Amino acid sequence: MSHVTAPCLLDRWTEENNAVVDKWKQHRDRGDAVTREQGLTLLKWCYVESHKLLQKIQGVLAVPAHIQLELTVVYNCCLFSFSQTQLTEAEHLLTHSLERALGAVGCDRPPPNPPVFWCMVLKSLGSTPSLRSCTLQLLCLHWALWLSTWRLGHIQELQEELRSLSEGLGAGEVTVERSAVRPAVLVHPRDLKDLLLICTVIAQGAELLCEGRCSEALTVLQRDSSPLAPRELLAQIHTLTGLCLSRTGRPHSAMQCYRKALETDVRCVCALHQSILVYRQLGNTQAEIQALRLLHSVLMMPPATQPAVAPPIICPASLLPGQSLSSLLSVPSPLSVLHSLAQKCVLHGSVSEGVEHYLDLLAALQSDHQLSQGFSEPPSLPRLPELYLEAGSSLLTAQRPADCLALCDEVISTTLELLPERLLLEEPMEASVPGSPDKLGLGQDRLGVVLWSGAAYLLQAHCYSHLKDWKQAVTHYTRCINLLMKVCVKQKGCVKLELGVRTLQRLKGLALAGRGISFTHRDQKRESLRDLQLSLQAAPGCASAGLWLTEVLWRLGRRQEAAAFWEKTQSSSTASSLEGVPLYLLDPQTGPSLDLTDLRRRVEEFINTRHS
Amino acid sequence: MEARCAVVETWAEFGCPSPGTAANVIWSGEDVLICTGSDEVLVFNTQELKLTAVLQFLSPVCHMVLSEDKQSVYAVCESDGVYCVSLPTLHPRSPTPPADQSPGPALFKVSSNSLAARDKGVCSLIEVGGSGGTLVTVSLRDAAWWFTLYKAADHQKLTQFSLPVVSVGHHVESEENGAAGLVMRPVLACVYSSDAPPLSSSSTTTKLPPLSSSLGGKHFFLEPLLFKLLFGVDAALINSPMILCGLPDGRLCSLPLLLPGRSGSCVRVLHSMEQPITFIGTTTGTNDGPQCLVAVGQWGRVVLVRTCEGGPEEGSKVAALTEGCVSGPVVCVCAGREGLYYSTGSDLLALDLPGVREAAPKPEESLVVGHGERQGQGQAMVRESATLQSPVSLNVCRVIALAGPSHNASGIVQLVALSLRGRLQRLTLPKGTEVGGIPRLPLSQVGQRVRDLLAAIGDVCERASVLKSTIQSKNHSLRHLNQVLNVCCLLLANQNSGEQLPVSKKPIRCHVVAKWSRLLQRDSLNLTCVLDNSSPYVLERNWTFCVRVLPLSYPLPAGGENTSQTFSFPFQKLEPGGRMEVLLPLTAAGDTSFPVTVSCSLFYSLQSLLGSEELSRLLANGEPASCLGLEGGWVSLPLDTLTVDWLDALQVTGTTPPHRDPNRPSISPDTVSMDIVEAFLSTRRIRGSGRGDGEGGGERMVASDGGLFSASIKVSTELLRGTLGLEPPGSAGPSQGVCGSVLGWLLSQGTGGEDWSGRGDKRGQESSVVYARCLGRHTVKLTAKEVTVGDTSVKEVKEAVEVQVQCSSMAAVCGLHHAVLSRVQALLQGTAGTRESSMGVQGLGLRQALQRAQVLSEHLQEARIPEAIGLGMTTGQTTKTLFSIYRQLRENPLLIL
Repeated sequence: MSHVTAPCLLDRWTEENNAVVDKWKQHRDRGDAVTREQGLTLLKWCYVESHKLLQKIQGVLAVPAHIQLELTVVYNCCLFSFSQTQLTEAEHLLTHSLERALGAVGCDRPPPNPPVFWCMVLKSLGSTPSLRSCTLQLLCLHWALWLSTWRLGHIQELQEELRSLSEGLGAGEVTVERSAVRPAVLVHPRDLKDLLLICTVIAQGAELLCEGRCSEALTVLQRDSSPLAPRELLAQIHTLTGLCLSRTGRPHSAMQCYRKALETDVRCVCALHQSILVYRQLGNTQAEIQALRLLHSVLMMPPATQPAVAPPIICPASLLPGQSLSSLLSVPSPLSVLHSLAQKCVLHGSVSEGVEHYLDLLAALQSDHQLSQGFSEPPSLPRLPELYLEAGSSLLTAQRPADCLALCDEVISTTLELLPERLLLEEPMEASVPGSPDKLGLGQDRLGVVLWSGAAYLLQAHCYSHLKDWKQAVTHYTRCINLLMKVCVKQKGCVKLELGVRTLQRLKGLALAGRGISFTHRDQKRESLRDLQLSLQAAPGCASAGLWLTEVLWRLGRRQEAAAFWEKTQSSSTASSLEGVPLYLLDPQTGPSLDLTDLRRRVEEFINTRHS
Repeated sequence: MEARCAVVETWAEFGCPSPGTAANVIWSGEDVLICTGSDEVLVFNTQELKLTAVLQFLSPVCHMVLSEDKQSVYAVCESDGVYCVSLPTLHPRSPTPPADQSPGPALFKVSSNSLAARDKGVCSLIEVGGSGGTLVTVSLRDAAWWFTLYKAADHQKLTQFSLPVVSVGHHVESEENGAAGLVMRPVLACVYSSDAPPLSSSSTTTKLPPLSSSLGGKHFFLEPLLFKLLFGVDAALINSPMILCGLPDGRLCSLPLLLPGRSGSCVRVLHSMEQPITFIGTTTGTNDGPQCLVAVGQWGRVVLVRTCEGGPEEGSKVAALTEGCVSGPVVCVCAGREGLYYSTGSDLLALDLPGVREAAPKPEESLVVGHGERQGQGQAMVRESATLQSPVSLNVCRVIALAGPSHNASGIVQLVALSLRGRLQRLTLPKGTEVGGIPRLPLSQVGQRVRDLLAAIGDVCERASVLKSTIQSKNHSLRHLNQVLNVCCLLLANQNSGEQLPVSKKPIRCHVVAKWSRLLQRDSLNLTCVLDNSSPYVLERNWTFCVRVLPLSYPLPAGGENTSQTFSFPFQKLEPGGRMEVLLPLTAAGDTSFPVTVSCSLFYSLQSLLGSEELSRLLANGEPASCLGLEGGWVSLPLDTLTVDWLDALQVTGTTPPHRDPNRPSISPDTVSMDIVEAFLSTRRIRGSGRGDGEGGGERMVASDGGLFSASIKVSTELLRGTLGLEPPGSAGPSQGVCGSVLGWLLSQGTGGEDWSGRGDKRGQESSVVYARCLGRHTVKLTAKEVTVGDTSVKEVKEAVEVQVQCSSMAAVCGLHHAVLSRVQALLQGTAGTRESSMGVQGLGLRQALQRAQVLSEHLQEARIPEAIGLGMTTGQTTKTLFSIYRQLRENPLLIL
């Protein structure tokens, strides 16, 4: 009975299998004739159908004659499961079917450890030529499952077997089985293998790179990869190679790799981003700015329209889920790119362009369109008040004091109610306990609020002194100083100052210097002298304060002191660290200018006459 | 427990809501949407008091939410996901005629085309910003709460955030809830800072102060300070709406809608209530009183979040959290103006919240979360429960869903409720008193405000003083200008009306006196110029008195240039009636050619008044300035033009010839001897000429070989008497009187107008002979004597006075002659046409004069011929000839009448 029915069943099952596969293939070939929605529904239907078929096949006892068909159906079925991201289900199916097959050929139940399991499977099933091909198919599938669940260890252990896959798969083709109707496969195993190979290279390279084993990663990545691989994957390999090179101190070679990556895939923004980092490292500001501009425009491009058809059964993205890879290939959000672009522009000459970028950035923040880009990367944007202040200071640099005043007003009005009467800081500041539920209220923003508000007043005062309204300038400098005086820092023998405290001191220095300079213009030389001296005490790095102090001493007729001070400033290298100082706390570019050459001439003449 | 009764009015009755699902009522305008857990949503019209539409979904609806603009309703179906149905489409009033009252409500089948988000796990959702905004759904999946953001317009998925589930007791609780007929789902609300415009442009949301119900029960405003304290400065800066989510595990989370990915954890846990949250909302007073955020837990815990003064060392505001407790379970809540209305299933209660009617609790009583110590929450809760007032029972039972409240104009509060039995009820609440808070300025801003105000006052003060001084200076300028204009008018009117005004009547006049002075043994002639200000105006600073001295005739070589000299004297202040006397050196003796013209004028400089800048601007304008004659910013007003002639420059020495004076060594012996000789000669000459030939009257100038020249002029005595005001001859006095007064007049009259006696010897007054020293230190003899002129034969005899000038210097004689003539001319001008002349005498004279003129002209021609034809006649000869012609010209036989 079974003898009769078996081929009949076999044929029917084969037909059923082929019908499902054909239906899917037809849909795939038809292209845009159907909607994506319909494609997804069809995929779901196929998934259900193939599973039903498999249940039917596995409903009877496993016989050797059925093994080939069953394994092929399992292959298809698992692929459908894979497309529905039912990975555990697929793996379970896979192992279960293989165990059935092994049982059919009379082998023992293999151990669950995958490498040993597969050694056994290949030994017992792979030796049969008719079964070898479909066994290897399943090995491919298992490979894919390992890859998509990031179990690279298994791949590593079965390296030899996987490498020999290509011959086996090729051989399977040649030894065509007797049956007239051959069970169709959803994806040709060789294509799958090629894809898996390159994805494995990428995954391994990324893993090694993350562990810091750059040279090993490099050797992995430089393995020959098939040129037929998808462009995006090739570009990723190039990018990762570039990363290895730049981490091993070869930025120029890295640049070459990034360029290759971009040539391979224009949308490989990551390579662009990495090349920006290299330019930054090399100090090539202009190139960096250009690259930033390019990156921003690429990021702002509408995403490539998704094809109408359903995604392929196996897409590279599902094979490469690793956290390490995505962190390596992450790209900052358009907003933070825009921010770095604006900052670079302002710092390196093209102020007006920088201002435009800042304004674009602020506008983008106010609108809700930015939500459309779902980037979830670590924050690279500064706090918003700082952003406002940076924009304000760049507006001032671009000679637009009125706009700067308005922006600062916004910061001031926002922070006004939050300003503390007094603020006692203990150095070093106690770190907030991580993981504790968020505090209501401002928490560590308390110092921030003071600094932002103070900096806003400082910028406003700069604006007024730019407009030569010295009275208003003095008023606003005084406000800034009064505000900063509310903060009391208690030092506990800690030498290294924290950023907040350093900012506080710099602010204080700038405000005092600014007020001193304004006083000079109001012809209040004594007040001016006092403020400038206080400024130099508060923050020694303020260059203009020193010059103005010399000038004021000179005007007060205290030439001896002026000359002495001049000599002191000239001798001490004033190149104090302005690293990490926010844009709005740099020395104002537009304020009242001092005729430096004139001062130098006067003072040096005086010094010379005194010496002679 | 105090109790008040609410009036219950049952509108309709539907089937019992299926147990285990949360019934939901939404009250939007005229419509009430009722969801009882079946696959239908009912739309009840409160005006017509009947069901108007039924929405039939494909599967049971477990939750529904109104969109912010109230234009659509979102329904969560158990098996599909979120559907979006536009509400206006439910009112197809026009196709169905109004007569068609009887048939039942319209049935709308909601197809899968209305599916907004295909997500089976959606528990709760909220829509922010209307159709252009965002849809936020919360779903429970893979042991995490997923917040998913969709675009409201096309339901495109934007982004996703997750928050891991922490409470393990959740399921246990939900089973309990199931027993109580409740399914807990996350509660969502959207908070705006009340100084920020809401994202949607719908008109309903612009109403302020916003009532929580006015924003659809899920959207409300929070006062800016509390907003900033809770959600940070960044969210406040970009006016990001915040999504608040109360999870069934008791956590109160916030999610910014606009903030870019600041750190991975966008979702912040603000607080944990430790029991399922059934309600999040705000209470708002009628005025801008302190506002608080309220969260109510299922078992009766009430958390109020509001601003509060910080600790003493901070001095700033902090967000304070007050926990209280009411008896649970709390089935449904809605927020009113004064507090909350909640149902326990067996009763409906109204809870007044502290902070709305009373002041905020003292910080030490409340749990100040800003400090971070969460010491003994249970304790805090117990202590805090006292701060909650006890709720007031409204005596309505079995309410499972509430909507509203609505406040009508008379202050009556109404709620819509759904009872456990499926009755839709309107509850009219007893009137409560409403007390508004007083808006106060936060203390922290007072100092700043005062400083601002002071600074503003300072500014205004400064500006005012600047303006004041400007006004003062302008006033000053105007006053000056007025003066200047007055003076100008006065003088110009004077000018225009001609020279008729006698000198003495001019308001501002000047006269000149020449005086000899002796300094360092040199005689010099000084001109004293006196300005009389008889005008009513003060001549102040900026006025300048200018005297220009210009010789009437001057030597040719210097003729190319103007040899005039200008002296200017600035005024200090010349009061009306005052006079200013200035002294100007005319010349060292003999340097100047007399007569000289002295022009006096007043100058006014606009520059000192206006300042150079303004002046240059004024001048640059051109037209008005040039109209005013303001070239160079000067106003020039001519006063008088006076002449100083030889007569004025005479130094009268006496009526006798001067003798040698040993006290005067500067005079050379030559001069002295000359004088003596001259005197002698002159006496002879006078006698000689006195004997004279028949020529009689007229004028003569005779030069003797000894170098004494003389010239004479005859003036009729009658004329002199008349003009000089002398008494007629017959009345008294000798003829000497006429002669003397003529001399006196000559020597005194004119430029100076001063008393003649001051200038010379007293004795000279009466004599008809005066000796004087003229320029060049020549002695001059002036003689006046009475003569008769005319042909005795014709009986036409006129009495006349002959004035004779004798001097050794030709120039002096000429000059004096000219001076005398011009005086007489002036005299004649004054009396012109007043007398008839005796034609006979003059006719004779005229004839003679004509003849003489002819002869002289011939002589002149002759004298010029040789020069013209280039014959070498010596210059000496020519000069001689010309000189003699000139002398003869001088001899005018005419008698001046």
